Amino acid sequence: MSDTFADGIIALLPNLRRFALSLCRAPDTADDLVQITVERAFAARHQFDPETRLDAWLFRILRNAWIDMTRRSKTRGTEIDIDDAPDASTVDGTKVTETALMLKAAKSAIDTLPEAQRDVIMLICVEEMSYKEAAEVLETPVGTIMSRLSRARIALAKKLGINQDPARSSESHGES
Amino acid sequence: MQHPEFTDEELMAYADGELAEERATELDLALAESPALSDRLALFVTTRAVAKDAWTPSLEDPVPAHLVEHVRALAAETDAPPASDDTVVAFPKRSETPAATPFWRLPLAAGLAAAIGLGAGLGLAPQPNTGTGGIEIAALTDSRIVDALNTLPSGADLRLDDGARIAPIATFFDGAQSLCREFEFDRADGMTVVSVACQREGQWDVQMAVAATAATDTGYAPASSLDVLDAYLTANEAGPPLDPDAEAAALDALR
Repeated sequence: MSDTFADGIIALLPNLRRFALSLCRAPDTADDLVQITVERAFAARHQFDPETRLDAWLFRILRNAWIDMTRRSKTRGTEIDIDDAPDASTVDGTKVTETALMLKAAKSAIDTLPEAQRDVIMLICVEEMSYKEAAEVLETPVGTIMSRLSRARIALAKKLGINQDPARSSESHGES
Repeated sequence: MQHPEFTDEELMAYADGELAEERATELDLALAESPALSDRLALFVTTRAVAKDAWTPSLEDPVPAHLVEHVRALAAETDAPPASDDTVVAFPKRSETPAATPFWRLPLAAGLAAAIGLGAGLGLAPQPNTGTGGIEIAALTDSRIVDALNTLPSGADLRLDDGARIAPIATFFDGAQSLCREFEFDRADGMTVVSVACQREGQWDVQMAVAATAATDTGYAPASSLDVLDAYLTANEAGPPLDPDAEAAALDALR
């Protein structure tokens, strides 16, 4: 007996947990979030269009569930904008070369990004969604997605000492 | 050289394979000329790779059994899907390829070989702009460059009579089983270009070319251009570099 919808969700559980973890940073909460997501997904399964990406649809449900959860519990930490705390996680100001250290540093650097920037990094760089797909998941215009993603990557590079002092380009339009 | 006409967002979109093709072609050409632009591109290529690598191990974390059981239970409770239920239909696996087309799969513009100095810089332009505005892959026709790629072992270098230098770095087969050579080309004006050319229909086609920041004392291209190169090699499923014997055999087979 096979239920392709259920099989698809099961196959995506690792990705859902990963995205959930990037949002809430606590494994237990992440699993709760994934559980809520699958419940909502089954409740709304008739709304899913099989022609579209199941992962994008699930991520959108998951992120909305996270927003609901934080609205209720108010346990969300204060967001620190990277520009306000430039040295929050710079690794000794030196370039990290060793791979494992680099990956660990990268993960914590991503963690310190403002949530809106972290979301676009996770969906586009990690989950390999297109700008358009990410825009749909986040219910945000593509232009805003791009400016967030660009600033997130420049901030990430700065924190990790990648391409120190890249030439400044023309200022892109600000976030709306 | 400054390229204020390319914004950070455009460079990022190029790295992510989302820049409109016409604009990407303009950027292909500009990249071969501007180390500063290559450096900025490398920032976006590297951060994408780093973010992906940092979060890849998380996919290996075992999924708690209760989550899987929960999905199964929900599936059993809700309406079973119609008729096809007893037919085992594999759920369409998420596409192995990213939704976006990486920039290096875009066709290179006419004149790229000229732009990197493999043609025009040596006075041997390989079909630059034909005037039709059509896009052509940049084929190498300069016999000295072609000879060097056909015969010179990796690790050797060849100084050309006008002061330029060509140095094959490695030989490998890409995912399409085409023979490819990574090489550095120091133009007579001192700029180093890191490039990959592959055999297509009997000739060497330039697949990518990025200008490197002014060559270091050792004469090797610095890291940021190599980040772009690494990303290119990964995307094209480049095989391991051939050892000297295999390389010699592969080059012999070209004749």
